[in-house]
Amino acid sequence: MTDANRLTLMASAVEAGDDETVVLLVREALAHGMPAARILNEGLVAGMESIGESFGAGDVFLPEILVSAEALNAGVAVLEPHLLADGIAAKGRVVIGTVAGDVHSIGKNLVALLLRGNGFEVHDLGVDVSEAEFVAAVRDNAADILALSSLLSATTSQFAAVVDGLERAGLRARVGVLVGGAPVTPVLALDQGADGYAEDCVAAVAAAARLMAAREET
Amino acid sequence: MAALRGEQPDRVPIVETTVDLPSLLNLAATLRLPTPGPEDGFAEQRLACRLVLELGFDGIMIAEPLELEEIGQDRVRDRFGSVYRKSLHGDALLLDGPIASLADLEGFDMKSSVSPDDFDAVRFMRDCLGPAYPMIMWLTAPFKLSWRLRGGMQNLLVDFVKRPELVHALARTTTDLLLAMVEGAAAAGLDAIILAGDIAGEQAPLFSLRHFREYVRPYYEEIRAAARARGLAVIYHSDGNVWPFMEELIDIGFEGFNPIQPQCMDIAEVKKKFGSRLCLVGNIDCRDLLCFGTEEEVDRVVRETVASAAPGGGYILSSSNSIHPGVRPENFIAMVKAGQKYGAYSS
Repeated sequence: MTDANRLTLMASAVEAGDDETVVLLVREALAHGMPAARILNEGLVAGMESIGESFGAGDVFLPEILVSAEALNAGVAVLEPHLLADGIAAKGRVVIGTVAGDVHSIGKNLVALLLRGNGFEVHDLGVDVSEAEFVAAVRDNAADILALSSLLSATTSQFAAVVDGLERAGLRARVGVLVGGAPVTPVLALDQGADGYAEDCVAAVAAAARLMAAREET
Repeated sequence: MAALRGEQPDRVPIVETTVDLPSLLNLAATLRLPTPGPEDGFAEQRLACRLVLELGFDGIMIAEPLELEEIGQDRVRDRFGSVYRKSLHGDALLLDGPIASLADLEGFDMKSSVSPDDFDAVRFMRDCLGPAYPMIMWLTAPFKLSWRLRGGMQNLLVDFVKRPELVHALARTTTDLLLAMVEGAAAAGLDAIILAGDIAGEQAPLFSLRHFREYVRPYYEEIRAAARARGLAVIYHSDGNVWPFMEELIDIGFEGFNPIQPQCMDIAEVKKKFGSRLCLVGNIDCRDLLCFGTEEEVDRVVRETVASAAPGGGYILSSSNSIHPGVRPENFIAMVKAGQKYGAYSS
């Protein structure tokens, strides 16, 4: 099997949510000397991007994208020590959670899975997370990005409360704040003092990458 | 009930699907209703009856029995073993469920938990409101009961792809519970049930039509048939963009659909397409309008909604989900008054 074939199969296995095949193919690719970064980007992430497009187009739904994200993460778990050994650092450190008063988790979990799958270090605080918990986690993990989720319109005001908390703790300048959730719009994100907005889990990865690029420029 | 039968009543009926306890107390304070003391075992039900009579509602919604047992550390457990944490705002946040695999379902029986005591509140409210007052009970649908047993919706959605047998076994157990509840509801003198379980997000359904037909529809059909055999109408409740499933819900035979979430479903379009086959219940926005709007804005939206949805019958005025503590009591009262002002049918 050529490297290209192996990567194509790997991408298909991620799309199909077949975690066992993904793990098998990642191990084989490593055994054949393929660089871990290439396996990640051209195999695993390529497969996830493909199903992400189908999800965005309304052709597949949450069950399919959830099993794909699980398969992606199963592959990443095998790759991680190799990425480290190759000296490839995480693309950024992310703290993520659903804001206080809201207990919705699936969208936030998908964003966390995809960020992790795309090479970010992710600290998931769960749901109904208080401003103080977010601020402490940003400080303790030296986070580059704080990703906040709210599916309820009543709790989107928590975004601003968390941003204020970061200001008070003197952490605001060193962390990019990304927000998302059904009632969230780009305008609301700006009003709440966020640096970025993503309409779905695939867009969240791109938004996180943009935030990291902007931080590196400054 | 005429609206649910697809007939045109003398005016647009008003029934609020859910008013939680803090909102009930807010409304009672705004309307200066006497509040029963804690020594009254049916204080909440008594207050709800007073409220519907005071506001001139055309029916009352009754919550399903939910016994949440305190188990310490801000945690509670329901009668089937799912564990919740009380959130910072007092909501019950699902933490864990008792079913991890098919083996856990062996000997797991939900239906035997149903007892006549579960309908004590119904009988109490029937006594308060009289024999002819329409009473509707809110019942959680098998899809939602299943994900509670699995400790989270995400687990069940992954099961849809990876563990079909488990999904069907969960649907069987939960449907058997619903069938027992339908029997109890009919015996207690209820007129209708709302079968409640969100199957859509704002952008799209949570799962495909294929999965709906495989895992959801057959069980809903059983519940619908059992309800019809006992003379109960069934309103299906799902938030979100349910457009792709509307034909299915009508084929199943549900009499009503709630709440037609205004952020993602235009009630005028739904009325045009399905209004002759389904009673529409809800649509008055409780996310922004009833929380942050003015009473004049509420009046205008109710007037427009009634104009779109009520012609020919088949519309029940209600909020787009529930009356929660964020809703201004004055706006809710304005919604009801506007419904009464604009809801008369001329013929």
